[in-house]
Amino acid sequence: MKKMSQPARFLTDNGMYIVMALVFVYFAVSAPGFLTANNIARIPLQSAFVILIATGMTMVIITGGIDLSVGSVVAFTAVIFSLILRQYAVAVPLAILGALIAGATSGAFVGFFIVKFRVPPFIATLAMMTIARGLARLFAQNSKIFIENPAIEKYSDFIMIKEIAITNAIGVPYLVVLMLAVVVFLGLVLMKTRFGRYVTATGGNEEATKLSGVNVNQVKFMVYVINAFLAAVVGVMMASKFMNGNPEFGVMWELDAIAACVVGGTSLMGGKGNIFKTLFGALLIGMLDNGLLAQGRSSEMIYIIKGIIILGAVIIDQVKEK
Amino acid sequence: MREAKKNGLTKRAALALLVCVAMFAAASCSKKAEEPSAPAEQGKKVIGVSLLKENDDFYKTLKKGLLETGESMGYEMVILSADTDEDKQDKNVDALLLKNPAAVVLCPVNSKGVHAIIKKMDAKGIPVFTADISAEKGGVVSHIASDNYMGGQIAAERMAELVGKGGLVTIIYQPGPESVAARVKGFVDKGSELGLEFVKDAAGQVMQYDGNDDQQKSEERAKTAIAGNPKLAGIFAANDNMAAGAEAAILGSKRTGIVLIGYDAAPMAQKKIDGGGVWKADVMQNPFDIGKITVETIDKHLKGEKVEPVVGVAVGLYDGAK
Repeated sequence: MKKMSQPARFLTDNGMYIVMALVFVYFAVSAPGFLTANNIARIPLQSAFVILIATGMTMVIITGGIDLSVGSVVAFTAVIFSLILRQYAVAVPLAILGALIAGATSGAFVGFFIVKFRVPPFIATLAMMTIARGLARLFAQNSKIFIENPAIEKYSDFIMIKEIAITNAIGVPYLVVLMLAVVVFLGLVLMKTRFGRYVTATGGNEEATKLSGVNVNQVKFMVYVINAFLAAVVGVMMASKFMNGNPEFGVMWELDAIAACVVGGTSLMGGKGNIFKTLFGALLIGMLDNGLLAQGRSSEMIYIIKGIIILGAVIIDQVKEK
Repeated sequence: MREAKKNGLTKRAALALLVCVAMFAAASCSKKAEEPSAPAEQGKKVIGVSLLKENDDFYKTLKKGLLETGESMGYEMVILSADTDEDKQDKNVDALLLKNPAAVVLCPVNSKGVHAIIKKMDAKGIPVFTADISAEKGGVVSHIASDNYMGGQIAAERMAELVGKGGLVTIIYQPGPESVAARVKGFVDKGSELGLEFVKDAAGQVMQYDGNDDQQKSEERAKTAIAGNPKLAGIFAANDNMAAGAEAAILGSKRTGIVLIGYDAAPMAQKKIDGGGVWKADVMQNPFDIGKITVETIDKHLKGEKVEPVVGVAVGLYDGAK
């Protein structure tokens, strides 16, 4: 009997990886073209935007919160970035700065209401989700802001940003390098620094953490700012990649990011989570998107199958909890 | 006690895994049952498609036209949807390229920025066609879409029947889209030929009221047109949204003898036309034919025949359930 428990523990501890392996094998067999070096290498690139958001989202969820606003913030900041660029052709760093400030501000706004007025994170970020989407549409006048100033296209800073968003360095796309750098940095911040321990402690037991002298309000405020800041980074990248600021960017991305966290074992109750596991959770979702498209499936089937697999991966994780 | 617990854990873990596998298997079976012809035969040439979306009537019918025509001509059709998301269209194309398609059809989410996506096909020498929506830049072999000029002409013919020779008519349009400009030009050209009189502006040019694709604004503009022209007998609105505004203005004016012709024949418009009010007819696109002619054009191109850079698809007239 005791020996039986070993494989059981192995299965539950590695549930996500096992599902990943099964999904991988399934696509390798059933989706022609899936199992090529080019395609496999493309999965991290295709998932990079969601991974960047999911990284910040992991911290938010560990504090016991949730952030529904990031998809809208991506659109809002992409529009801001494109607007500034279109208006002032020579100020690319200014446009980036403007977008990042706009993102961080929306995070600060949310954090302020959560901390000062005890608005539940679900509600505060739901409000920001519609506000940021509305602002994006307002600033873009319900259209897209095209970055088509020839003066910008020659400008080296802009070329650099665009390169990061679309090109490769020795086989590894810059965007993937950036994404991995953010994941490693924030992953280590969460595991090794005092701030990281405060984040986990806040979600584990807020009262006890407060009593031991930690400014939990500051911690909670910061995680929303970090998350929205990362959304702004994605907004700048999206706008650069597609050469426009579209107020409809990022619709439902917050849900992909939350799914990546949860599949990666982050507890929605707070207090538990790991950014590196979130990375794999997001890669699993990215692999599903990639493989299902490679099979030539229609979008409604992709939605359904994705939902089922996410549920399956989480069920395994829940078994362990009991 | 402990052993019993662990035994339970084993069972639960095994169950969870089983559930996942079963779900995935079920999902893949259901797909096979639904699309038996998917990635079956080798040797068939593949036509890859990335639709703008697949959840509205127009695109559903267009998809049907592509699929039925393609399969009857011996192509393997791989039809994906971008769900009006540029990032998804980019991923769609990555997936399509895995199939080594003989040709790729795009209904671009973003006319201006889609050349970045078209480049991926150009790099592999795969011909690109656009359907319904054109690409502003990038190497496209042929663009297949409704013949909007013909649509305007058809509207003018019906208008002449309704108001008679010498009848005074005017136009509500939207500046910007080429499609709308072509509709208006077709209407004015044919209308002049048939002896319709147009409301003129101060400079003696044919007056076009800017409804800006907005119902409210179109209503105001139509009111202005009606109030300023006691003899007005007909209004042509360049799409259904603007036609709805014009209808409200006609009904509000309490004047009789003003008729309306719209464009698109959306379900709402069809209902109004069926109701037998002032709204007499609508120009109707044939999305099925757009799909069909797209495949036929590709077939010609692949056989080495010359194809036109722009292929117009005939439109019809909806004038009620007569």
